[in-house]
Amino acid sequence: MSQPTAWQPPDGYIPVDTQLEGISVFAPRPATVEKAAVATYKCPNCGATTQYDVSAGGVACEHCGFSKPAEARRVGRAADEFEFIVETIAAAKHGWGVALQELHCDQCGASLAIPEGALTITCPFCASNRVNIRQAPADILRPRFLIPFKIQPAELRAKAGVWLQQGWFHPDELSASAVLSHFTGIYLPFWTFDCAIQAQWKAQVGYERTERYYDHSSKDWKTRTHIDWRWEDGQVGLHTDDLLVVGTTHLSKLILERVSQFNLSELQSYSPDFLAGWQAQAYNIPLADAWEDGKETLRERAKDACYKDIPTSHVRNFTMAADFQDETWRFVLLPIYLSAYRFQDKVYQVMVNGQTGVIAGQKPVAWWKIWLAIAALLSPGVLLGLVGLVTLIFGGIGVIPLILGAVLLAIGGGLSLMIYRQAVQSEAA
Amino acid sequence: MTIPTLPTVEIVAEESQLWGTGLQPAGCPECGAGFLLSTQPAEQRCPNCWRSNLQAQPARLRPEPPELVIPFPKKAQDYFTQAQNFVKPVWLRPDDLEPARLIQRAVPVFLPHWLVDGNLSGSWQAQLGYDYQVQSSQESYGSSGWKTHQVVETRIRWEPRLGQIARRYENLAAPACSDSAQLEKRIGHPNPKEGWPYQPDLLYKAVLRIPDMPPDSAWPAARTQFNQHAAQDCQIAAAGQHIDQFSLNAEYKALNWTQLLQPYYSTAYQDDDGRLHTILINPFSGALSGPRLASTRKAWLYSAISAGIAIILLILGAVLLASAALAPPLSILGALAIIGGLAAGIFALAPVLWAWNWNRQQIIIPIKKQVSA
Repeated sequence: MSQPTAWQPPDGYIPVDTQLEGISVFAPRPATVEKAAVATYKCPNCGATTQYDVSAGGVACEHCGFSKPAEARRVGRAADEFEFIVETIAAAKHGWGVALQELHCDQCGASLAIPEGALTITCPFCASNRVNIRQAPADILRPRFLIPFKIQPAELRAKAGVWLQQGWFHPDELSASAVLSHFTGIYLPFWTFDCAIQAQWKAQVGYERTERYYDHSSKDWKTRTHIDWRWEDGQVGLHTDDLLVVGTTHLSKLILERVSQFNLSELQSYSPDFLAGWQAQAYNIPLADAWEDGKETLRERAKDACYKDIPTSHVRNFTMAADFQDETWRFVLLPIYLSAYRFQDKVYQVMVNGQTGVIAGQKPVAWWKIWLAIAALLSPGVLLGLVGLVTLIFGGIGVIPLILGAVLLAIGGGLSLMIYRQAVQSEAA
Repeated sequence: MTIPTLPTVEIVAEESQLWGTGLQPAGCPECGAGFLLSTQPAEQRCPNCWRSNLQAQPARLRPEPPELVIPFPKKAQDYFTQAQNFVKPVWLRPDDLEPARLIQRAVPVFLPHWLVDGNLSGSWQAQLGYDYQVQSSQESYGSSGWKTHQVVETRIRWEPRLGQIARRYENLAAPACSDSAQLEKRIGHPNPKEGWPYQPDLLYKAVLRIPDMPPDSAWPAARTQFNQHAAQDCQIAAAGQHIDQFSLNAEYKALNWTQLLQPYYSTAYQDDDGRLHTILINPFSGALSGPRLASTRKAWLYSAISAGIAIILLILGAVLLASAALAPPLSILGALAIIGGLAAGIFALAPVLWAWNWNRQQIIIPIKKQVSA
């Protein structure tokens, strides 16, 4: 049988494999999978190396003043999200290639060793900047969105100076002797997750009931509180939008969490222009592992929501089931400045949110100040207690200072614990 | 789209010998259905309406024999158990609604279908659905902490596909009688793959319905068959698991029309008023279908007997109660008779109500007067 020849497929359709003789099949041309080529940044005017300039919002040349806006568009929270397709999860497990690759610099001919996970590199010999030096394990897993740096490097020193001066329990000489002069801007990998949770809970809920009873010992009517327990159940719906989970283990998770309050409505589509002259890191926490971290957070939120659904604070034999639905994810690069300073032969890490300027890091603690503060907080209670004990020998009046002393000791103990924890966290990484 | 050239029919005289057998055309004066018979028409009740005997008459039909015949798998007697089960739920059934009589009266009938072969060529487009799997999870919390249960869901990704088609299709069945759709609901759809090449022996002395839908009337249904097969093939060609919004711009050429004969048994019973109701037997599933009417005459009779007993008991009870003044123990008997009378009175309503409700649920399919093609 001959096929009619007049028929032509519409524009944008290409022939695909057919499984049956006599039937031709055409499908829309797939979106071109951009195999991100290594991009080298050079000034078209003077030939010098160019890099992304925060104030210019694009690639700029320090020598001749050339500037070109980054080729990207603002997508915000509407940035594409992807389903947890079984194949994608498997592909994401493979990571981003080998630990060390070599790149040939086409500017000066040098061979460059690429550090593990790096997405960009600057040639140490000719200072040329390269982006996209590593290929994603699957197209869907390449960086598609990022938030560009908004905080200019020049602002960082002043911010760091102010931050070092903050807090009373650090060494007095810290702000004078510690130097935070060099900050490295780096795009760090993050996963964002969306999902809806339908949670069903069941528990024994206790309701307080006040009852009067006759006390035979005091021969008087008194009241007491009784708890009536009954089984109840309920349902709670929870929707989470853009839960951020860090995608790298190379930096302190504790400090990162303190600076990772990003405004994702400023997400931009990925352009290598943003990375020119800046460092960028590929994820080394795969999608599945990051989602496990995210789920731990989300199920605790669901549990809290179920507890809030219970009308009283008396709960026992609590069980719940949380059904995750419409789970989606995206892979984004977010800007962080990294720095470190040395104080009394010890190195302390500092991070600054490159979008908001929030700063956090390790700070040494003057422990004598902590102990002194704790002693000061505990001493009123101890002293009043002693006074109470002494006066108790001479008469019943000692009971009042004894009780007051116990109260002050409890308050002092609580505050002391809080201060101690803050001090430990200040040094932790 | 062009309408293909369709074959025509010709008039066959009432005394003709058809298809290598002694088949003669006949018709029913009541319902108008046309048949081919191997017996004398006057001896054969119309298996369509059962209201009249068939009469010899000329018929319009295609002279060539059918291409395929689906043979009867069993004799009518083999469906006795099914007939028993069919009548069993009818509590007050007419005397004639008995399994043995239904089987005895069963007439083997062949229902004709057009079998169409042809070439289909043109362009198509559709939405093809491809399955993919996503991972989800269900978390549960109890005394031992959190437990995770991974769930894999299958979802469908819909994508447009289009192309050209040039395929030949053979033996696509299309209705040849105006009541085929109604009959197929009761005796099932024919599967041409079960058909045997025509031989006179396969007709089993059965009555053959004559098509009253010529090919030009049956063409829309045949074209639907072509398009459905084309849609299935396009789905296979595009390797999709699902297909939706299929559209086809096609030409149908080299059409060849023959016939397929589908077997069934037709039987009947008489209701209280002497009206005959047709019951069909699907020879493959053994299922009987048709209205199973309850006997309203029997229902009224049982109700009247119960009412009579009720009246007698009530009168007796009243007399005994009246006599209780002379002999007090009679009051107990009187009370029992009154209670029995009331119970019988209430029961008297049951047969009539049951028969009325049962008959209300029976669907009586009206038999339309047919005009032979």
